[in-house]
Amino acid sequence: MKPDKNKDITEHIAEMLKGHSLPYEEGAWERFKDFESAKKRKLVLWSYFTGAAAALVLLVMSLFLIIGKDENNNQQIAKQEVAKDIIDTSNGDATNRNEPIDSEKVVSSPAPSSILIAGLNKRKSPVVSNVLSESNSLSVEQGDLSRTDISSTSIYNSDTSGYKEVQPNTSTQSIASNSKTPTPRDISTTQSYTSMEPLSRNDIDDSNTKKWDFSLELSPNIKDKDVNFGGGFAIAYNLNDKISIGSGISYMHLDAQREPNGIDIPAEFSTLDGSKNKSLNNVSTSLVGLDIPINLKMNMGNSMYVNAGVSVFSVLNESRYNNFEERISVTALASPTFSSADDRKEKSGVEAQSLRSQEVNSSTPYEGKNFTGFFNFSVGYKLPFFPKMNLAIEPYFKIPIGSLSDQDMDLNNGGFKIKASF
Amino acid sequence: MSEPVVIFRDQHVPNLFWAINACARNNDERAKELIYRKLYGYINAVISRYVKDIHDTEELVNETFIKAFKAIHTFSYTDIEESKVEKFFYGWIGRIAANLSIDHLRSKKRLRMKDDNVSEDELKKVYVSPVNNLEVQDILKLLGQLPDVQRIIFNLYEVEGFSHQEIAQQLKIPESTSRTYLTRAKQKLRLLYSQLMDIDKKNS
Repeated sequence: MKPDKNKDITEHIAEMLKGHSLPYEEGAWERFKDFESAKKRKLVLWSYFTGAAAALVLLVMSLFLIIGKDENNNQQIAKQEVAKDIIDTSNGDATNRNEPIDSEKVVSSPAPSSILIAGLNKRKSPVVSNVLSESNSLSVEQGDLSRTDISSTSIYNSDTSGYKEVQPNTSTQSIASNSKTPTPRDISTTQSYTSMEPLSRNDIDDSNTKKWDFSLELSPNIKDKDVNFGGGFAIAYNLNDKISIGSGISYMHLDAQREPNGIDIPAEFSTLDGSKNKSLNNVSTSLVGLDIPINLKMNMGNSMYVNAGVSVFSVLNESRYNNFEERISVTALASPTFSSADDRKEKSGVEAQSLRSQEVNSSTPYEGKNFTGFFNFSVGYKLPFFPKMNLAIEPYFKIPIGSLSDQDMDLNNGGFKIKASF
Repeated sequence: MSEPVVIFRDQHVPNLFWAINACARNNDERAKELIYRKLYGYINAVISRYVKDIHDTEELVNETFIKAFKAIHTFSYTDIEESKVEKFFYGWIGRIAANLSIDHLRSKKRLRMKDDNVSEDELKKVYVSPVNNLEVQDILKLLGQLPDVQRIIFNLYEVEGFSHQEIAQQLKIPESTSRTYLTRAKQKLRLLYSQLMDIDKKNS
């Protein structure tokens, strides 16, 4: 027998495959049910995992915050104890004997006083300066006090010490008017000193101790002229003056679209004849999810900063639509007002109008994807708003990674965040 | 006296049209099972044309049904005669299967545009020999020997009926590349078929 000269083998293969169907395998439905329930469990677990991860991040950060607070309190208590020790020592040694102060002794006083001084200098000694000014026995300016120490001759005004310091006029006058050299007893018995209260947060310079920043953010997302609103909160740990590391969680709504491909066209539509003149314009998707970032922030001066990092994006819901455009023929008549019957006949004709429609696309490839996320970049500008709050405007840009980038959909997006930091 | 059993009209019409309706309206488990059992073989065959690994195939079959059941309410057949609904439904779910298969291959980074150097000598038509008629399993084996891109383009163009323009959009390649790969796929199939025939001749 001769081969069939009318049929190429590839045509034969295509025909065979078109009509091909495999037999049903026993147990396939039961396996499918198991697969389906496992998949549902996985999806639920992923949602829980995302929530748990966010909770864990918050918990760890809260712990750091609490520990940080305790350390600050301990430091304050230690400093206060040292201060009291020094005052007690002074009472025991010099003031009880009611002798004139030996300034050499005070200047070469043991380590605790130097710790106190160092501590006071570090804190810019707001409490001590207040105390001294309130005591009315000394009127030393804060700047001088913080620059020198409490044992300096400027306080005790002792000629024997050999320490002389140029003092502001006001303090000199004040001391001169008292016409009495104050002794450590005077200082120690001053009400303000003896009843020294624990340092409040206000007494401590925030720039040195504030390690944590909390912020609430509103983040309008701009994509192809569409604006979607999202928001959340963020927390940042300041590693030093320049760099901080941050995280948080935010709700995000993102729209995107792309040109259609052959697979997108619904089966029932593709089999229609060309009479409807309907075409698939684009495929759009609307994603709703939670974005959990890890960012590194670098301060570029007092007000500017740049942020870079990655974020995990958990897609909670996806809606995908096919957007069609249908060209329909409409018989148009010219306006009869100023035209004769003949003109009207000439001007009337068939006009093509486009009719746009939208249909739900069954495919939701992003939903339930586990490893999705973005690269995040932003530049921020801080505006002082309230004493305890900064308002910042932060333009940002997000580039998809992971399975978000597998698809053809353009999910690059950007916008600007409005952040209120505490 | 026992009460008469009332059978509602839409309660027992065990065909695909009823199942699609019941599944879309009530997410009916019996309807889902009917659809699954009826279309399992077809979906399995569609995916087998694209994906060689049998384990991947089974997973993709199940993924296809999960997606189809989830989106079945979007299957529009209002303007279609009831007799044609089944045909359209096969097309609709077949596209989901093909789409998932291509996504699967893409996610495994297996869609590389690689020149496989088909020589000019191979550009001859090979005609079907009626004596050595091919079984589908043999065809699938031949198809499995094609590079992934060629196999996808052959399936999309020759079996599914897509145009080169549509294939080019789907795979993000120029139309000319789609044409080239289709030609290569066909030539490779002819070559493989000829080799198979030679082996059969020697054996007989």
